[in-house]
Amino acid sequence: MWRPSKEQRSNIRQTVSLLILGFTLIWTIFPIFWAGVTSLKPRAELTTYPPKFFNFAPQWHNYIDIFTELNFWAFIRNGLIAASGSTLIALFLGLPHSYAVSRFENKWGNISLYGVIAARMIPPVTIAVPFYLIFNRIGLVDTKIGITLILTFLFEPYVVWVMKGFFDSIPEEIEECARVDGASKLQSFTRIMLPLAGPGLGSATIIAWIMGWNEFILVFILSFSEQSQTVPIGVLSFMMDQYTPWNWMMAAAIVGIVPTLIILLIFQRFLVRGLAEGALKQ
Amino acid sequence: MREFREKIENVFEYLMTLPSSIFILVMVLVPASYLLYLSGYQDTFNPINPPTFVGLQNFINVSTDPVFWHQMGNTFIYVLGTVWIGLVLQMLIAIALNDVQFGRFWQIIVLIPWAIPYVLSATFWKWMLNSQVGVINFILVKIGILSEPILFLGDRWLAMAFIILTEIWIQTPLSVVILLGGLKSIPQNMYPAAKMDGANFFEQFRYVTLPYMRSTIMVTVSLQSMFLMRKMGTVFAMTKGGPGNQTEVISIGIYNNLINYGNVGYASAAGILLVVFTMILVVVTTKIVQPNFEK
Repeated sequence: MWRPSKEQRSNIRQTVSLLILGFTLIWTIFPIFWAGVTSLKPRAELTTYPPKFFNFAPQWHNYIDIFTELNFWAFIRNGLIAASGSTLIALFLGLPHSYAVSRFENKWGNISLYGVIAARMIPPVTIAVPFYLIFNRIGLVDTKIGITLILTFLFEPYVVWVMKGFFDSIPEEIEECARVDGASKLQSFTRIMLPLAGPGLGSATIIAWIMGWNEFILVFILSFSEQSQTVPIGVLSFMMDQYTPWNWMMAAAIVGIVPTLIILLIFQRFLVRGLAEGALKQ
Repeated sequence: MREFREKIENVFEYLMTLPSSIFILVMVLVPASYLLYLSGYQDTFNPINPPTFVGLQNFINVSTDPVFWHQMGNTFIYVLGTVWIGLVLQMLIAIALNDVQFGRFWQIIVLIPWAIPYVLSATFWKWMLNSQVGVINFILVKIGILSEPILFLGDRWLAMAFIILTEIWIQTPLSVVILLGGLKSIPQNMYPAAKMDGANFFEQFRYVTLPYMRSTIMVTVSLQSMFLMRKMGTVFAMTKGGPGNQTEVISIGIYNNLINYGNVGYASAAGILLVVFTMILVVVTTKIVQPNFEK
């Protein structure tokens, strides 16, 4: 029987790994590639069979039409406002909270952690029912403020949870040194801990923002017009019963995924750490 | 002076937790108690009569409704299919990622589906699965698997299969990241030891990797099950629950009762039952994957 040598064996392993990843590459990229191709097709090419891959005149105009004909900008604007606003509020509220529960021993902090866990366990679709009625009564349905508020609720507990993990991993001695040198608790939080938790802060920020930009169900239930709908709901609203302009829809979708893809390219390292942290401390 | 400062700092400790705790508690307690209230009433939208208290009637209505069980059944097929079929693929990708050079490049590739809004991913797949001009039909006909284009999303089981495929595409990055973290924490001297005992690759996987990965797999599987039980966007974007209500999952049922039928009591009760079923599924999954796991 043929037994591969040590070196051969590691070569086989590398090859198999590359094959798996090559397959992953195609399987991941192809749907996006096909959306890109479709987004450049003129309307007449949408219904031809067999579908054409390259041999048609690309119509870059589709990318202008979605702004002039379909007012896609409104959805992007809403998405930017809601995702950025809610991320900022979530950090502003969540950072001191996570630091306090990580460092100080007090009863209230521990009780509040149960609240954090409960908030993460409740399905958005369940909590959407009372929120819909409450928002209806106080006039927050279909407003940017309402959407920002509901997104804040969605990931503020996540920020507390992840940042608590990052603060826990910073040795307490560093802070004690600062305290001996006369720094107040506020100073040691803002001057020492926040800079040290920088990478964690980065990943919490990025993940919260992407969650806000991508969120579907809560925004879908609590908004019904261009006033407050975000990008995923906007793209879905192009899908109509009689006729769906797939080329415009795909152009809008490509525009919608660009911001998060750029963030992924630049901040990949933060993302991996933040995702793993958020999951493992569940 | 010193005492005064300490007092201030104690107040400061509480002040740091206060705004966030109040926000979370208000945003959890108010809607949660309102949800419980709603689940006991009917005719909440009726402008003339005040809502009538019906006790557990809403829960009885939901649990005797065949549509609810149909949707629950679909939800479980969708969740279990996505999680367990996906796990095999995700495990392979994680192991490959752990082995290969240029990890950073490959990690970016693997993470792409996580970064883009999943509703948009679902529309990408819906377009590829188009019955007349879809690229998947075209490819399958070209290589001879199909004789002519078929209606992928027009049949319950076929539609379900492709929803699951799409969902696996969407959920792979999160699982791979968690699994990769687990693989990296396996002590590396275990593998040479196993090789010395003559273990081949599969035996190494069976006797070294899997036992070490048990708790990581448990986290992956239970986390994914929890997320998928409540998810609506993928199915909604691909089939809207159709044909008819054949692929409806429970979240679509709750949405329909809330928005389209105005049946708030039913929606609240179904939402509460969803929480219960999710907890049961997660506990059972945990017990199966790791029988003697202790919190």
